[in-house]
Amino acid sequence: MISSNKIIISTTLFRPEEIQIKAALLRRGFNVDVCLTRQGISWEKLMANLPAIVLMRNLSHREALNNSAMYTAAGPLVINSHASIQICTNKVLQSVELQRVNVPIIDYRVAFNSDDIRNAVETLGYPFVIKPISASWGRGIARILNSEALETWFAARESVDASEKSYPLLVQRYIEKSDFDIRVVVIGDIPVVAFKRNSAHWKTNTHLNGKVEPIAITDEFKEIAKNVTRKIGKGFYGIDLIEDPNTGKIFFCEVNHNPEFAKSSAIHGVDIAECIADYVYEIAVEGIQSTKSEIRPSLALV
Amino acid sequence: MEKTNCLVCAEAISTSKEYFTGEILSCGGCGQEHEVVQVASSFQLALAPELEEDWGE
Repeated sequence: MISSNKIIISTTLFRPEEIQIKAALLRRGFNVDVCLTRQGISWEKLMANLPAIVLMRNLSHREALNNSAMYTAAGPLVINSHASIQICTNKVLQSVELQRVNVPIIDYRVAFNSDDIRNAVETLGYPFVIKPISASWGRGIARILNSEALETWFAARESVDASEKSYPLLVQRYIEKSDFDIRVVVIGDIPVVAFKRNSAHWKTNTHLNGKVEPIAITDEFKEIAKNVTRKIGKGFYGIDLIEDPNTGKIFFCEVNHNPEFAKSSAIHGVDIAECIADYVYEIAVEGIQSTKSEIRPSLALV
Repeated sequence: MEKTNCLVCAEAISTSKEYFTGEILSCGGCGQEHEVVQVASSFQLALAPELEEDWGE
């Protein structure tokens, strides 16, 4: 039985973001339950009183993938969809899928072993960037400036992964950027706010103390948001972009399925939790069709 | 308002039925993060989990 008024927030920790979202949903008359995976989910109880919508806010990628698959199989509408979470948690899939819909991705190669990285350098040149397929907050990302740095990276890698089990990796051309990147927060398929994250470091995550500066939402940002969501489905996303200071060209860096907003919201003033609640309310009224994606559905657990 | 104590430095931490299970509270004394593990019958805190490998945006 599906209760049309009931929403589950699936999460790992109940952070300020989830607290704000819950409050905003309650104000719209929803009956909201919070499911913390680590505390266990009573599946029997869940199946006896299924929610209409499950909002995925799991901090853990593994939980987000597994729980979204299970909730989808059980019947409720899941936001963001399991298919979109699969893409968002895999940097290679993002590049492969989004280059097909004219999103300005950065030139990349997929390395299945160390030889592939050496081969990639021949066409990408130095500097270039090595990224784990699934990692957050800038962890494990290395900018390789020259052949000496690459040999050092290989040596360090070999000491912990001699059999190269941690491959494949994403190898990307390094885009010279100013001291900022751009975060565009998208709800549905529309950007609701854009801001620069300023930092002297070449990685500019707010988690790494990037400073937030609101900027105008351009037509280019709207177009990128439209193309990304056309591919992975409407939902709630943080799209990261970088600008080449020499050409002004905007490049797509990545799309996040579980963007944090508590720190940045306080600065740019857009109440993201209210925007999410409005979006969920619209979907609850309109029905489930609006979140369809072009991604082939897969319910495989990880 | 009732209080409990930080599990590390014993500084008093205000408790309230308004908190949710799973919510993270920081100690005003030492900054240690705690997770609210029970609200209903009695208010209980546990040390918040450390950052895990697959956590993030």
